[in-house]
Amino acid sequence: MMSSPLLILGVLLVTGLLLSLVASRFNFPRIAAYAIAGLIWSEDLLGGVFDFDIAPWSYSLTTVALAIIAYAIGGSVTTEQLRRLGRVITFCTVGESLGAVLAVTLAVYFYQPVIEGPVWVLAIVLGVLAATTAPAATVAVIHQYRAKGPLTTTLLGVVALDDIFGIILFSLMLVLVAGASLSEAVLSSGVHVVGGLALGSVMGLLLAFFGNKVRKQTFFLPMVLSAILLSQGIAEILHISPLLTAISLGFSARSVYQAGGERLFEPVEYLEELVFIIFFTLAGAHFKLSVFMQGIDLIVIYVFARIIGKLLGIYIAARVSSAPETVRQYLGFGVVPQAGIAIGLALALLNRPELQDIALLVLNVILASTLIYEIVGPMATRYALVKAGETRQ
Amino acid sequence: MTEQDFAKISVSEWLKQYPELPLVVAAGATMNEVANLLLKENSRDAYILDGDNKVKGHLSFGNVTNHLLSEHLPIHTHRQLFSRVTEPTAEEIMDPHYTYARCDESLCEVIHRQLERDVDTLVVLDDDDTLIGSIKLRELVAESLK
Repeated sequence: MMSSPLLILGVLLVTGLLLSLVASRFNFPRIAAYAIAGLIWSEDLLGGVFDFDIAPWSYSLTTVALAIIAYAIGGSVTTEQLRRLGRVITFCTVGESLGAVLAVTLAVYFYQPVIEGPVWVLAIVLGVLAATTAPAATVAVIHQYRAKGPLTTTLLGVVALDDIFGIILFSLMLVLVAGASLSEAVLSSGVHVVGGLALGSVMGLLLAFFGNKVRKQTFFLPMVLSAILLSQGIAEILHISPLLTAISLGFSARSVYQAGGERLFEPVEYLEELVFIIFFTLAGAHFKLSVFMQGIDLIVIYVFARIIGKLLGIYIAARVSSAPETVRQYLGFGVVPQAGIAIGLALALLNRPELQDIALLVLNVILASTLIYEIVGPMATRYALVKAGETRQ
Repeated sequence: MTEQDFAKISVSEWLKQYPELPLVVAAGATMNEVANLLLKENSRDAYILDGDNKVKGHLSFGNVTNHLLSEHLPIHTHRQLFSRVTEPTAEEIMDPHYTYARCDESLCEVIHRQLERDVDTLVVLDDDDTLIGSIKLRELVAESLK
């Protein structure tokens, strides 16, 4: 068995990068290239030939990678900016996220797929993963068509905000499905949430304090990574939510450090592409044909239910918040893309003992649906922008 | 003027010869307003002051244009997305950890700092951190060519 994690990781990254170079020549989405690179090294293909063993070490890597993303997202917004986002963006974000969560949860639950373990757990897990979107795909379409106007602005705000919302929902879901009873779940969710927020806030204060003392630019990346790793380690020992810890670490560090937060966040933002290569190649490497075949019906249900949920959720939220007509009619089509964060969150399920029966199935469903959304998503976003009359090309 | 000459001149002596003040913008100014001022004054740096004439932060031309022209970037981080949607003020994107000079320093030390941090107009502060002037790289270069 090939058990050198560094060699396997190196092979995955190099394959991912090489394929993405080829993909860029043919205008093929690079995210799909990363996933195919992982797929080449999956158990059913070359991973099986060379006996790759990914499971033992991929958890730690995924945890750190997710924490980096959560930290960057937590620090991406200030309280003042949240206030200034306004009613329409906030309502539409909550509407489309909850709409997708509810639609996918109900669709999967009533479909009653044959799986090991309770169906309601699978339904909730897939439902929560449906909340996040892919800002990169949306921004790329907006940039390509030089779009400008109320729909474009609202769309940018919504795709930025719903990832925060999605990560928080995911953290709460993990607590809910881990509880043996409802009362236990409520109690432990309190500990998880409050503990995560408190730990992250304290670590964020310390990070900002030291950030104010340090002048040397090159110190910031090691300092931020140290804070992320330390807070994740403490969260693990105390059994509190690592994702909420990372989000509140970023948020409190940005709030205390003030200004644009360039120094505390820019170095980590440079790592985002690396993190997404890791997510997609690892997810691809976890591809299993037998599991995929078992989940084909789920992929179809997930893809359609998520789109319908987002469309309905936004329509209702836009009406309630008195959004402009273009926003009400077309914003839902702009939030169809889904990518890296959903994959990262799905990868994080693999090491949850209570989700062992469904984690691989969920990852395969999310991976396949992400590839579908990579094609459908940008087309839907373009449709929305063109229909709203906000494109200039 | 050689490096030895710069080493002999103190910041306070330089300020007597070139009594310059930096470009100051209001904390609540929009990116459009800041960019207009920077262009009008032909400056690459602007500063924000508090009521006691103390510097709160620094804005570089690059920083301002990054925000102003963000719609031309094909990739945005979440931070850039929120910033683009909420239209930040000068105070929100200023760097509160700006670099500065003191009166008793030699020009030699100051030039090194200015080049290292890529600041054209460096503020000079007195002992209680009040703004008393600025050193412009343009004038230093002109002096060095004499």
